Amino acid sequence: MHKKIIEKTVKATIINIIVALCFTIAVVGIIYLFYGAKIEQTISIVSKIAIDKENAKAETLPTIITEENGMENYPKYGEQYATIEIPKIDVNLPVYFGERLDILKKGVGHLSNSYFPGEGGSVIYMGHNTKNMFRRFSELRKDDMITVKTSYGEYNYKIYDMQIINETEMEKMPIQKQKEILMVFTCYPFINIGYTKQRYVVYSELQK
Amino acid sequence: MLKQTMRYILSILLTISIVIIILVLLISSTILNEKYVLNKLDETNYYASIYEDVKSNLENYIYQSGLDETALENIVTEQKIEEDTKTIISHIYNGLEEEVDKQSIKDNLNANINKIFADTDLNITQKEALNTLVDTMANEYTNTILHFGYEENINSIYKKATKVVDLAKKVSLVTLACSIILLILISKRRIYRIFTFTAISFISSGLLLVIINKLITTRIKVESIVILNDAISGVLRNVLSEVMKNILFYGCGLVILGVFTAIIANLIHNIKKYKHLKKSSDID
Repeated sequence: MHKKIIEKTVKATIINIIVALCFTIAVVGIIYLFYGAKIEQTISIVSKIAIDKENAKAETLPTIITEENGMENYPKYGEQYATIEIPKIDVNLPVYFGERLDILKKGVGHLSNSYFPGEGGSVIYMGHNTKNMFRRFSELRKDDMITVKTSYGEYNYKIYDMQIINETEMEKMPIQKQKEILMVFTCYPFINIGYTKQRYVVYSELQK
Repeated sequence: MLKQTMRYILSILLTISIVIIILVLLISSTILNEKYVLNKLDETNYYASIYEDVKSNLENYIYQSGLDETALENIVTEQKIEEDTKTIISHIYNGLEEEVDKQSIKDNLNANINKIFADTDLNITQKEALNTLVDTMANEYTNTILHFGYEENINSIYKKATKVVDLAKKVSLVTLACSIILLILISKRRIYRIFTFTAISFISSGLLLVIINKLITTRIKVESIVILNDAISGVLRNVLSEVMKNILFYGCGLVILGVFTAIIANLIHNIKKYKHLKKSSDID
């Protein structure tokens, strides 16, 4: 008889659980019927601030694979991937991927939405105008050379122009993919006191 | 039949009210609770992290300004950052219109700059550039400690959210009480039904909470939320993870409680039934 009681109890409990499941499905259905669109909208808004950075970067950046020098993986944000050498002004500095202030403290920053050396587009670098960095930019002239050494190859650029621009004139450093141009900029005047709104840009093109 | 239908309807109402009450209690004791948020800032080492950010950001202005690092000496302390952050939090939660004190930053900077240029005659342009630098750095400080600038808006959103949460709490409590009373009144002669229907409500509300948790955690990568800066993102991630964990905890707890209540109610009912049957067979 005890067995029967247990059997009946188990059966009744299972029925209760099934009813509860039906309730849950019904409630979820009703909520989705009335608020489904709003819920989806909210989730998509919140998802935008919850980006999986690694995957997002892999999706937005193409993989560079050239015949001779293959760079299958891009450096991580904040990682050093190259050195820049400008013999004329004794510059030999590490280049980091990214433009955050803490990166610029360590060396030269690579504007994260510009192309990498070897990709055939605009490569934009930036650095402070301190003594150890780009303070001597004014000594650079046309035809001076800039060398970028990366783990996947060495790139030589010849300077063809220098310009002083305002910090807001980003159109003077266009991002394009027709021609490989390296643009390196720093704050101007080189020896200044206080806050500066001007930038000194050195334009150079890749030498084959 | 009518009574049975009523029981199902009441059970659904009970389910919804339990879910709403748990969610509302979780929200009001975490995100909408000033003390909880301040504790989280302490736990996640917010002030130390922001202090490092502030130092680093100000250093960068110094690097491009032509000044040396002595300009930054004693400009800001971790304690000041803590006080100013609390002022902003208080602004958000209580609507108090206290401004973050930028003047002391400016005064300290100016004092250091004056020391550096004590023996130099600065022209008007240089003086203007230095003033701009000091203003920019003071603004950078407030932007770094809490990047909002929308405290007014957040305060009004907070007020609205508190009102909605209070209203939801009251309505669900009334619904919960009414549902239980009506369930008792309808099932006066079959008390075990009160328990089985309550058990059903517990299980379904528990399942709903688990579904809510899974819906959010599978669709939103809470651990990857990035907003404003690392320190704020860290606090937000911590709070949201805790809320999600609590939702899952209460969900599982309710399912277990519901199953347990159902087993006990059904067991007692079946034992009673068995005893009753035995009695009648003995009489026969």
